Amino acid sequence: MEITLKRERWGDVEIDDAEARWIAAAQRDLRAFAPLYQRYFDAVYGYARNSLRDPELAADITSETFARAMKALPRYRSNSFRGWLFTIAHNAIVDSVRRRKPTAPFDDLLMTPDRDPSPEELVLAGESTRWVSALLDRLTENQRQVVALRIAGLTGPEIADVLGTSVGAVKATQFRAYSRLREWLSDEPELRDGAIR
Amino acid sequence: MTPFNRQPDEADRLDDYLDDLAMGEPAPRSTIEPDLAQTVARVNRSGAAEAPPHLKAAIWEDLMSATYAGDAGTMAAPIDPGARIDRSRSGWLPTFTPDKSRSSRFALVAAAVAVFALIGGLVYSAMQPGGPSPTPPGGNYAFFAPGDATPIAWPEDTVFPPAEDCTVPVVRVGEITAILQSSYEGWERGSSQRDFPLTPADNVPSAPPLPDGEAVDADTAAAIEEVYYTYIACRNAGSIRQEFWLMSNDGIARALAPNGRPTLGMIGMLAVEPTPVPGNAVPLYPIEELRLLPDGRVALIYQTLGSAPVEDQYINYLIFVEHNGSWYIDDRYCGTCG
Repeated sequence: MEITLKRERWGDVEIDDAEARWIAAAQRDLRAFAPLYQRYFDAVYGYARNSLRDPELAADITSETFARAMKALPRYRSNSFRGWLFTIAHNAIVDSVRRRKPTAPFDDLLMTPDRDPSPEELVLAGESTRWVSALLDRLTENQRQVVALRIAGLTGPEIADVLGTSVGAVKATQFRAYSRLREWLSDEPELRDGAIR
Repeated sequence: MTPFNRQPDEADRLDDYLDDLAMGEPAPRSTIEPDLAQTVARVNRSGAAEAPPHLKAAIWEDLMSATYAGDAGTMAAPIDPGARIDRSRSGWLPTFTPDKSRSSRFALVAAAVAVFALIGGLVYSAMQPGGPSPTPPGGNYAFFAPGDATPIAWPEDTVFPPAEDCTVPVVRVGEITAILQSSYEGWERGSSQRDFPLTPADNVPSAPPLPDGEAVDADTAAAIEEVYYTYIACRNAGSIRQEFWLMSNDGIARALAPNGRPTLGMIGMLAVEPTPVPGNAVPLYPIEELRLLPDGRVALIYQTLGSAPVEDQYINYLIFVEHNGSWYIDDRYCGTCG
């Protein structure tokens, strides 16, 4: 579907006018939600997968996120649809983690190492990707969340909304996160064997 | 923790750089150190997850099925059916817990809905020359008679709300069953909320009298006129379950089960695939009056012209009820139906 790229500025977040029309149409008829789903599906799935390290659970979270979003859409009044959608995704992830292991701290669960990859996944993903993924696991929960939301394509203000924090805090957290990743990647040869095993 | 010396400028530049990437700028306007840019690129590449195409399609299908399918379905419904019933007025539904005998009786009603929806749809379809038609052959449901006996010469400026303007969701059969359950139990208890009879049992050429009332304000009139327009658009779309979306729970129950029990003809139409009938569209009859009734509901009064040879003007009502800021059709009276 062709996307009109005329942009408007709503607060701190830019949106294109096509998206505004899609949202208005979907508020009248949920079948018109399709282009929004098409636009954000991969990003939501990626965010869930990066947060939970479990493709099947990520699929469930993605489904739940869009179901919640469609249910709540008539009441949607936010400036940033993307930020609003990822807030729902973030809450779905938090709920999911709590359901799985109610006694374990959220941070511990998100630090759970990835399950063994299938041969197919190994071929597709490649060692380099696994290496970077392993490094993401070494970040703090906050840093990992911010990086996961950056990978999903959110802006700083949107991330602040999703995580319920300030833009300044997001800026500081992401700088620490990417600085650490840069440092670790520069030490790649020494760390790599220890990180992926 | 790895020590670092954060320079505010660096953090700001990185933030601008990442924001530019997020906004799809082809070349970020902010510059950061090359190795940091390389780190961002590697992290983005490693984390960019394109979901398998079958997954995207499957989840969308599940979402649409749960929202629009004709029954409660066996798959996990992402939209809570109870919340969907709330679209009209959960607070109005009888909330008592039915006793065993009532539950037992309702089981018969529910079974009738399911079986009638299946069998009735097939029977109804078979009765239609040339295949299924959404326009019922008569009875109470023939509310906006399009006049298939003698074509009516509509004035040039007559508006026919097109099927495309029927943009509301459908009410699922599972929800209709729940609505009928509550209404059925309400009837059992004699607690129907209507305080004057309206739905005609027979062909009545003159309208039953409505209580007197004031005209409604402009905002209320605009809101009701919008529902009225959409309702006729849904009629022209041949989509009865989208029409139901615009009706209160009691309105749905009255339409399907005017005497407290669903009828084969009415329930059977639920199973008919919505199909607009070309050349048989219902016009947007001009509104004669919007009258605020003593019970707080609003009567939309309009006139229709009967088919030859009895081409009299007939009075028709749609009674609207407000719930949570929205207006729903709560009852109907059709002067030309019979």
